[in-house]
Amino acid sequence: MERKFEPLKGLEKLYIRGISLTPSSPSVRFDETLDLTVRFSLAGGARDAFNQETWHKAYENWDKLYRMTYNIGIKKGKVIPTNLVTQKFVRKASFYWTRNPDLNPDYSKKIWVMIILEGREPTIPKDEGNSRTMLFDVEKAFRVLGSDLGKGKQTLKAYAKASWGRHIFGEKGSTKKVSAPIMVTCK
Amino acid sequence: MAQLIHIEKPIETSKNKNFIRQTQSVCPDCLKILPANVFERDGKVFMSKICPTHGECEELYFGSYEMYKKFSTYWMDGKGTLAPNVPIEKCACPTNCGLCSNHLSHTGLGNMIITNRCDLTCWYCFFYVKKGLEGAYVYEPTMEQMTAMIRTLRAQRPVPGNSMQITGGEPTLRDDLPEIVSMIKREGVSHVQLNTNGINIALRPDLAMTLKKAGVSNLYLSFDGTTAKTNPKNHWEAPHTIEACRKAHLGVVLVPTCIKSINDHELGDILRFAQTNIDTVRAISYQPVSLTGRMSKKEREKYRITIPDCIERVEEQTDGEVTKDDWFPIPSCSPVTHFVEAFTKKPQYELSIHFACGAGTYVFFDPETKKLIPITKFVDIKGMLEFLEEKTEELESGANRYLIAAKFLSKINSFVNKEKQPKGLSLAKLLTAALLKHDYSSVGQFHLNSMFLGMMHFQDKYNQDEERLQRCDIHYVTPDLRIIPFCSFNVIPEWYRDRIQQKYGIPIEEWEKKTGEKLEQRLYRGTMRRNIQKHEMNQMACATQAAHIEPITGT
Repeated sequence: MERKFEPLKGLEKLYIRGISLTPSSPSVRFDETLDLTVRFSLAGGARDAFNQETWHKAYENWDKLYRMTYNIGIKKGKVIPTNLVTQKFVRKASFYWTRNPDLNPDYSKKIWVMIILEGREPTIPKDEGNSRTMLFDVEKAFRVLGSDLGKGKQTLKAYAKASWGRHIFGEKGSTKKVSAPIMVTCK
Repeated sequence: MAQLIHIEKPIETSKNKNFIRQTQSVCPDCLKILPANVFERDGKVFMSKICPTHGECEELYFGSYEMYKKFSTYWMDGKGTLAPNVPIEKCACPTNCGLCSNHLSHTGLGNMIITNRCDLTCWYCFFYVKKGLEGAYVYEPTMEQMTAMIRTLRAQRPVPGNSMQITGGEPTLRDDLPEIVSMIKREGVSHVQLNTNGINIALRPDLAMTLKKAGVSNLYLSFDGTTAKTNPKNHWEAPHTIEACRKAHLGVVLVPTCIKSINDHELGDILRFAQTNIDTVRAISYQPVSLTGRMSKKEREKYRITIPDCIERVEEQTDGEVTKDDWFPIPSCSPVTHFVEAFTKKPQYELSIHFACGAGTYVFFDPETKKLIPITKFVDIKGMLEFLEEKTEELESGANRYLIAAKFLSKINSFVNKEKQPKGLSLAKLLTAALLKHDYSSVGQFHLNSMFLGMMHFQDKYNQDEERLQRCDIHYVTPDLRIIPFCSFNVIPEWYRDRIQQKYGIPIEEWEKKTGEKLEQRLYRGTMRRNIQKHEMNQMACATQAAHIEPITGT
């Protein structure tokens, strides 16, 4: 089936909001590990429009799979930052016709969503808000060795990029952001 | 007629249950449409529903939660049909099937029953016409009716029905079978499969060539086990049937109905038997049993087996040659279909059934090690499907198709481990031909070099899930020019199969008068079994060396 649709008009482009990098401890020994957590959210039109009404529109237009590709990582160094850790993953929203009588008491066509998280973990969200959290909110913990950081005071930054294709939720695009630097001491 | 009822609150789930989703089902007693909970308990998936009149019914739905999770990630609704025969506004499965405007899959495989006569009288079969039963009828649609049925199938849009199974009863009992096959081919159907017990072909090997010439693509051969005990139907005849097909270059699909405690210990032996006939046996379609009639919970637990259970049995009984990780749900083909659709901008044939309905894998035979090599051992299937999804999205976002084709060509080899690939096989070449040329012959070439292992679990009243039914792509064409999903047609025969066939059938006496034949005249009397000598049996029967050969029990 050829998909012929126009993305919803007037939606604000997705952007990364509130990216942060949090260490489990301000210092680490050279032979120990440190947990570093990257957190951020995608905000904007597609997130706001990620609701049952738009899922229905997407489904009706043969736009049944919405993918978000995330590239995240942590860099160390102030002048010429180098990659400490990186990760690429995809989250998907698959729209389907639900027969759940609670969602569909009048037995009409009701579209719901299944979110497939990285690692192919499928979840059917309880409500729209839950689905937005699953698709657009990211929290990733990385474990690094003190030896990877190197001795002394280290400047670390998290970066994130999200990209998506053309869907009812908006034109093809991408967004990226870097967190504020943090200092970690390796002894 | 069933009524729609709505219970305000979902069924309470206790603490040891992990709720997965809510759907609809029917009461196995009164067929009321009911809300049903699908939940996990002890690593297995169950369905539970409460009828206000008949109480709770809990049934095993899927034997492994881990596999359920893996399979569900491939859930993708299909195109449905743009030319429904039953236009209705609200979806009330399993009523009003035909296909209705709410059905979500076009026909993947159409079935046409050409007779309800059979040459066997299996005790458990409720399907064939039995003499002496009040109101018994012979159902044999005329050539005009069958032509109209095929035209209805072909009128589906956006994808006309293109794969047809002739079924029964025993279809080889109809003398005009070759003409029926030719008619189906003339109407434009590419793939014609014959569902048979194979006995008539074993008795008359020339029939295989006649059918091949008429246009039959392959036999769908009932084959429930490798011993006479597990396969009383055609244990002694099946090897002769396969031999006849071998000579006629006619492919065979073995079809075991899998029943726990009856034949589930032979699923590996069936695969070994297929392996020894890999030049002719193109596939095995394991079918976990659909429990018909009224059965107590205890009985159901004795016989109930689901797709993951069968997959685990295959792993155990092949000593890990084919593991549970080698299997994918049938709708995992969707990224391939969608890529071809985005590339060609034309709607393509799609297998969009529910993920819990079917599974499959390909195995290749390594002549050096004499072992079966599942495709997953040398192809990164998950990676390839992800890549195709990504490229489909790029195409749909406006990327240049030639650029995408170039990316595909440069990347496809990276998904194939050439060192582990069976000798003489170039899978990357085959995939390129199939995906970029997207023609039937290149797909056929892929099938010829491998054996497809499939699982298809038809539903019953105990485990019926309307979300599955709405996505069913195995359909029946009927003389009232409807196209009815398998799990409506056979699960609720009083609404569909029996009602339709009775309407278009004739009393046995009338049929006998019309044809000058007695119904029992064509019954198989076990001649091949009686004539065969014991030493010959050991050579010809389908038991593998490891399997125990049971004495002849006769039919």
